[in-house]
Amino acid sequence: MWKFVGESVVGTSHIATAAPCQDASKIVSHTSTSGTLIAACGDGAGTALHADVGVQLACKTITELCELHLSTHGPLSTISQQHVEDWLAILKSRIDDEASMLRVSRRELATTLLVALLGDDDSCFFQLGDGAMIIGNMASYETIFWPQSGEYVNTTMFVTDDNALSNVQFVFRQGRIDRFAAFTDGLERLVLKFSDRTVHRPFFDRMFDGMQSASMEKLSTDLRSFLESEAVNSRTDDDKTLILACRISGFPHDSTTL
Amino acid sequence: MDQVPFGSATFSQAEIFAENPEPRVPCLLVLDVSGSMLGDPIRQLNDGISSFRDELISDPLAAKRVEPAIITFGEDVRLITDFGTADSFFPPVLTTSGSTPMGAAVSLAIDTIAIRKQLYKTNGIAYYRPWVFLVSDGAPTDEWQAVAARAVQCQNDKAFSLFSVGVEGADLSTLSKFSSRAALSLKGLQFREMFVWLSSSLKSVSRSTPGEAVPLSNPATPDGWASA
Repeated sequence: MWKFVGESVVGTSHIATAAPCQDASKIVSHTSTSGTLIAACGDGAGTALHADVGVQLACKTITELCELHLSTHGPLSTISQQHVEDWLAILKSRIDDEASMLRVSRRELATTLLVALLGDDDSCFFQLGDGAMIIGNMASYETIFWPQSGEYVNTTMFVTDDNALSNVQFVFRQGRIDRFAAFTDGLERLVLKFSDRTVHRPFFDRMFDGMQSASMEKLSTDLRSFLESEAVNSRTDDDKTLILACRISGFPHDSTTL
Repeated sequence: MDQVPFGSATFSQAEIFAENPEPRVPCLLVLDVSGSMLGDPIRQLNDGISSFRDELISDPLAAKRVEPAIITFGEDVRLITDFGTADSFFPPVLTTSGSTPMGAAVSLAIDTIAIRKQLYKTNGIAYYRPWVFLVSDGAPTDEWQAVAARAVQCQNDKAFSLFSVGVEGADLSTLSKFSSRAALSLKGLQFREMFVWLSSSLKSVSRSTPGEAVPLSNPATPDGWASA
């Protein structure tokens, strides 16, 4: 069983210009496989006219495609790089449809995308663009992929790029993961140490410890007020998304209770 | 800088990057200090560089992220101030002499940027696309065609952005050949206004995040420091 929360909050620079939040996230607890959690988030490009539409469409579409795969093909181990590329191709065609309805080019819906499928004994991750996903336990955390950027710090990759399918990073991992987090680039410099490419551990220790006692409803409000806090806003004026998921202690994963 | 042995200079750089892991915005000024800049032009240019520094250090983020450097060309071509953050930018007072070896200066600029990028990579420092600001009141007195073509190729490859600015008397059409955009003509000796614009543009760049358009104000407006 997972306890999870995910929130996207508009950045202060976007509040100033009355721009919509161009981050989004979606978390689905897949019911037909035992306790697989699907988490997706993304950051719409600031230069894209309908980045908010693009990122929401991307999170919704990709979680649906993942669910469909799990329902029809079964375990996570059946997912390959090829499946991920197929899903991204489908996503691109949905973005194209949306773009033509809005009478804009595909790049006006440009967004990054980070996706995790967390099963009982294994997991899959894929990512296009910046932001990062981290996994951990009580002792340590690690990033799945380091944030993807172009040569320059203010450039990244998007699902709408022509070469998106070759840029996507995919990994399948054996083993059980107890703690998972994903975030967009607005939080990168608060939670990652760029000097040695590691995770800022005290941050996640505090966040996950805080999750243990709170109810799911309270978690959303608490996370939102954290993301809107002065402490966070003084470090970033960008939109920011944080997804946190941890296994609830006291529920053995191979539960035999009937 | 020259008297520091290579080893300890490298070491001190690593230390600086460890203390300040902020992403960097390199900005290389390539400045004409040939004899014709004598008098008011060089005085105004020096004043402009001082205000450039003041503007950058008054902004806490820009002070840590923007890295100015200066190459001068006149009697010789020299990197007189190597890249470093604005809070450690202490440019010398420029004096004039000699001719206008612009080709050699731009060639040194291209190499200096490549070396800087390599140093960032070695130290795990993220960076923005470098800016080169080429300022002259004349025309090249050395071989420049091949270098200009190389500079434009670099800009097409997004290795850096180059802005060329002509002071009164400059050969604007030759200056334009170094840049993928048209050269700007400085109005009068508004170096101060030019550097204030440059620092505020760099402040915007240093705040920009992926996929975000950097709002640059057009300097060639009636109130601006340049005419196109």
